[in-house]
Amino acid sequence: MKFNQKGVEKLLKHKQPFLFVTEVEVLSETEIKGTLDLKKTEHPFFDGHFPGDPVMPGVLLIEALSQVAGIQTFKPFLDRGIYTLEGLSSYLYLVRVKDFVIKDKIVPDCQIDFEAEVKPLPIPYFFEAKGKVMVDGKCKATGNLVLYSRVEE
Amino acid sequence: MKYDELLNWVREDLIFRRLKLEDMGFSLDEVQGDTILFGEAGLSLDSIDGLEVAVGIEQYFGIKIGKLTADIANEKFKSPQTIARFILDLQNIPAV
Repeated sequence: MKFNQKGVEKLLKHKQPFLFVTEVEVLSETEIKGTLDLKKTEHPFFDGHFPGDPVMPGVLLIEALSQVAGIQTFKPFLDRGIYTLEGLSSYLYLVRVKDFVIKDKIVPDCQIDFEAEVKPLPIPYFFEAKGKVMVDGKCKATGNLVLYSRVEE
Repeated sequence: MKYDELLNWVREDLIFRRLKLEDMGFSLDEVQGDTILFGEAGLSLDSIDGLEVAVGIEQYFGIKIGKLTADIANEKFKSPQTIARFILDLQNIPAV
């Protein structure tokens, strides 16, 4: 199940300039992968992070991974053929970051690949995501996130 | 672990220390066995605290709780006593 940016925008409440997913593919009940086409001209924060030496902020890698993983939490809706959450009250919050390690810097004008394994936690609406961030097949970061994801129909 | 020991572990370690209730202005005496943990009638803990309790049980006892419904979670995590009984149920140990 693949979604391009327009499809992603129908699922996530996040919008530009705070949408960091270009496309996603739901692979299984728990696995998802996504991409972000990172263009320097589309993200003004590169002017300050850092002047003359643009580097993707680590916190935004975490945010992007949480957005990709968040789409996986909507799998029950996707299975029912519901491909837009517009008009529904949906909540997707990043509530915990665990063991996030950034191994190498990422500079703009590249494609960032994200992989996440997303599983529900015992308490309703909470999910754990184990994720990996890659560029050109090279692992740039890994980490675990906890998401709160709730949709009211 | 006997029920009384388990209940004390739930009160002191799982709830009071793990959730850092002292930082929120509570004393251990305010966490009794029948203290309501969630909602305005009790300590007003929230769902993230509930998640921390569940993860704490899984880590300490090496067991998987599985996915709970909202109703079941509210019932099982209502007070330290219900949490202690829930842990015994998970281990198939009768409360004595």
